[in-house]
Amino acid sequence: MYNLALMKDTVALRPNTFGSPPHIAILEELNKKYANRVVHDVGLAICVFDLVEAGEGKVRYGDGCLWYKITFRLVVFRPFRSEIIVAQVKSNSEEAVRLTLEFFDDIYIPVAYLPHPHAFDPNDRQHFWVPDRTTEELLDEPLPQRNYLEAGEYIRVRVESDEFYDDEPGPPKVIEGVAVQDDTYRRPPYRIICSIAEAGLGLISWWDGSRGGGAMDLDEEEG
Amino acid sequence: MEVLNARAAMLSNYEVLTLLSELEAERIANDKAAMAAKEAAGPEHNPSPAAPVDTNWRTVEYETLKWLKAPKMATTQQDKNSIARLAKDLRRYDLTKAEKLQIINLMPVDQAALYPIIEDFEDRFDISILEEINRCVQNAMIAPDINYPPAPSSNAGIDSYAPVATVFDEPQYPEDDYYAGEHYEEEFVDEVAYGAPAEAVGDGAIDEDEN
Repeated sequence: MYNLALMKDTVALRPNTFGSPPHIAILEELNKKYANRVVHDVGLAICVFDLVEAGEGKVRYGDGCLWYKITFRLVVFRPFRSEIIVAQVKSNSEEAVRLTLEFFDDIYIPVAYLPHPHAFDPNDRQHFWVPDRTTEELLDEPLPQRNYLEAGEYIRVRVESDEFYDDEPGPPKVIEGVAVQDDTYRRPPYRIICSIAEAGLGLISWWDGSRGGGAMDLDEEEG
Repeated sequence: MEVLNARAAMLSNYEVLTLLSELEAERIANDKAAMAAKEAAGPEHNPSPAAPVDTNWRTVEYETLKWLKAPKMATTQQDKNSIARLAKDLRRYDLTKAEKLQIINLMPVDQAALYPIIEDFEDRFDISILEEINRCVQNAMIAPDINYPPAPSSNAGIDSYAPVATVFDEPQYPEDDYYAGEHYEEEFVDEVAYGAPAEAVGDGAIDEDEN
């Protein structure tokens, strides 16, 4: 799930930080800049791991800051493709199931990656999976046969792909001299697509045997 | 900003938990010290207020810790020694580094949880291996300790952390001549203050000669 990324950056220390040791001030400055931000094609930055190398602080003409060239390692969240991770179901919609990890929640399972046969219950607004099908129409299945993807449940998923988007916000819109909020949907900068269409994947309670009828054996699924 | 290596090494969940808990404890200790200093100095003394901790950083730290300490997470049943033992046990099997990392992160105790982690299972292993690995994982579990890490008030435990006990990969530093063109007159490498570098604990849990 987590990686170390080796990064290089130039940091400006303001004069009010000159009192503290430089490495502390530099770490603080780097964390301020990176923590909880998505670095394009790298992942979601959590915090600075350590400083690898730091140049001499230099004063430039025009400001009172000390500028340091820093090489450092950053802890980033970026699960690799085909990694198995445990997440929590956040919400269901007709197109996808959304998952959350508390600190990151742009994780989706598109309908195509749900186990077969599955259906969307329009009353509960939840997807469910029916391992042992008994009726022709999935929505006629008796309730105990249905395995719902309930919000809050822990779920084991495989990472299929991830996408980075670097969408620039356009110029601010002004109508008759009044600024208006831009309500258009903005894509998340980092999004993970996951799958549960495989043996062993899905809600953890499906597989740990705590539900009599729902869980199945590996052999059954494979056959 | 320049990315030299987007994936210099992989970290296990437990390492991230340790790092964040440590940083949090450190900050709480600093805050307390600052408060104490302020009280000792009396009301007349008015030092420049300490810079507030960045909210972004605070948020991600809090949420990541909350996630890693959630009762369902395997990190609540691990400590440094148990991970080292598990990694040693897993050496017997011909698993890739990524597979070992996932086993350590997820601690699968039943076959259904372990099966998807191992790629092409049928071609590579016999089905009995699943049970064996499950048993290794079971052996490496410690009693869930919800109160982990030690309360920040006791500093004894915090000092003893070796922060990078099981870094999975040697960090790949750029070649020396990378900096040749730069105007570095003096450089300092700050490794002492911020955790021992990976090589100092090279005999850690995961064998390193692996590809």
